[in-house]
Amino acid sequence: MIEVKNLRKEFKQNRADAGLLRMLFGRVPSETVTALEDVTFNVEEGEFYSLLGRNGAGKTTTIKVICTLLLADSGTVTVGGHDVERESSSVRAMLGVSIRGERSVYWRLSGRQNLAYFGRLYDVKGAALRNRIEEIGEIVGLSERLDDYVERYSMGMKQRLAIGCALIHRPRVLLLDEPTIGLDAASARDFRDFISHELRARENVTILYTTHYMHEAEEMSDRIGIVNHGRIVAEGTPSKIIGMVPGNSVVTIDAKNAVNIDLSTLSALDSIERVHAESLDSGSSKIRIEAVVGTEVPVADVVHRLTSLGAEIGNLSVSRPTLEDAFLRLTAD
Amino acid sequence: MSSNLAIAMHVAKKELRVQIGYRNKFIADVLSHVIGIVPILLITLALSGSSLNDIDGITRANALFVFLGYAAFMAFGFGTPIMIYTGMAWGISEELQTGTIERNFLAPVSRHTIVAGIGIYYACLYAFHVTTLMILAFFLFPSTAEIPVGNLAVAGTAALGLIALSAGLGLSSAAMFLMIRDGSLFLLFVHRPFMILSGAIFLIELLPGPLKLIALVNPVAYGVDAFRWAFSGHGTLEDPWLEVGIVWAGALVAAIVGVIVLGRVIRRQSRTGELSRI
Repeated sequence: MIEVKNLRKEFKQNRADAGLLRMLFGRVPSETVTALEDVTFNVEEGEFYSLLGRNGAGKTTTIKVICTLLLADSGTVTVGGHDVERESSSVRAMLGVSIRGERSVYWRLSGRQNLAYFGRLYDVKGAALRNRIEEIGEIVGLSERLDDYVERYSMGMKQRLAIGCALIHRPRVLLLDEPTIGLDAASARDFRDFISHELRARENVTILYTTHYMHEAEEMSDRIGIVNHGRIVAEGTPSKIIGMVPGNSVVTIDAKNAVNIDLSTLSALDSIERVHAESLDSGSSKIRIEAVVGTEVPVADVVHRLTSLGAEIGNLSVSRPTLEDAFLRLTAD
Repeated sequence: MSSNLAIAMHVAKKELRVQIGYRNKFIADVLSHVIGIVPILLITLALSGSSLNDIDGITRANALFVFLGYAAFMAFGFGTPIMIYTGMAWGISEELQTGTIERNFLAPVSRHTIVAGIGIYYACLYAFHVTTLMILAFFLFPSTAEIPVGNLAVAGTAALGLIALSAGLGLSSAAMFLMIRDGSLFLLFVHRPFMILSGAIFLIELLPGPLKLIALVNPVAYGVDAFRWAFSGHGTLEDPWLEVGIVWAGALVAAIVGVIVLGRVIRRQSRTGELSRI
């Protein structure tokens, strides 16, 4: 549905450290910043694809090129087979976009007036528009507040209205740029539930989502593209991304009577990469067992061996690498 | 797909709704022209040493002469934010600040149409101003003389020409606002000279030589003069119909230049990223 190939974009930025006189009368020195170095990815129809990256990694620039607000220096982008530069109008008709959500709606109009205004720009009118407004109100959970001025909405409600405006013309593709920024934890959770359950279930749209919140991307995405310095450095399902870096499953055990146990009996088990033990002041031991990358520690076997060697198992915890671990490794400079 | 005109009208309606949302500003926009006429009237009356109650025929004619010039010029005159060509730019500027212009430009309609739609709102406001000033003129300076149909035709086409000219200039000024994100230089170097050198406030005949020359290439001056002639019978420049022609020629040029300039600015800003940097 979305094909992005070898996208490159540079910006010239004026430097802020020029002298006052030079800023007033001279040519302000500028520097070239590469926002997108070489971005290539595809989003399939019906897929939820997240672009994950640090601030300034190039996520929003990519979205802006796709939605025709920005022209790329080189590379191609097509949406539903339409080129974003040559067939921008067709592309815009297919897209629903929410960039800087709460600021993209008119605060001095009501929610209903906003929906009606944007609907008409997309050629939705008459009874179809009225019905769609009611439907959208229900989808975004604003039915009761549609006739209130937007300025009275909470930030989360404004975000939802912005998405409602993006959905008004039944777009085939929805671009959401960091929609949960500024939301409190509860609102962000509600918002994710809304995206995952209401939106995907009812509208069946392809979604391209940008965020720098790992848990959001992991929770909602079919696939993730990790952007760093204007390049996609990793791409795949969340579990595939997690498996890409040398993090592994780790089991930590507090055990009594384990000081003299030969740990090589644990190392000999399949999937065990490393075993480390340290004695605690209490007389017990803390044993840390790391699995080979991409595998799990065979907890039952480990417990069986330890108890058969006379150890008494106290606390046992299992931890796995997270998307955040993978992200930090993949985007490390 | 709806026609561009239908979309532009839709944008204008939204602009009206948004402006009404800022109630105090809206009231000021609607009434500022009436307030603006007061100093003009006072200066005119003071210069003639009369008051409204006992002005003689000549003074009344003079006052009407100035008043009509002001009425014709209203879109370029004192109520800066409510005039079409700056209004269109102000509209853009406001939307840039609130962040909604970006959202509008994401719709599958011409970006010129969005800007023009904002201009339509200000054009309607202009028409309202001129109409109310004309009504006021007839109350303040009642005349028994019949105005020939030909004169009314001159006034109408001159007024429409001024609206069209304003719309063309509006596209250019909107482009300038998009480009420099600041209206002060535009107001100082474009808007003020247009206002001062139109003959609406300072008669062109009374301007010093070089300024008079500049005023004579200002198409607005001819619109003002033709409009004035239609109701007072006094004009100072050219034949009224020729003046109307000049205004419309200016409007055509301004429209072509405006469309090209706005298109280029939007294109350029799509490259630099300025179009979506808020």
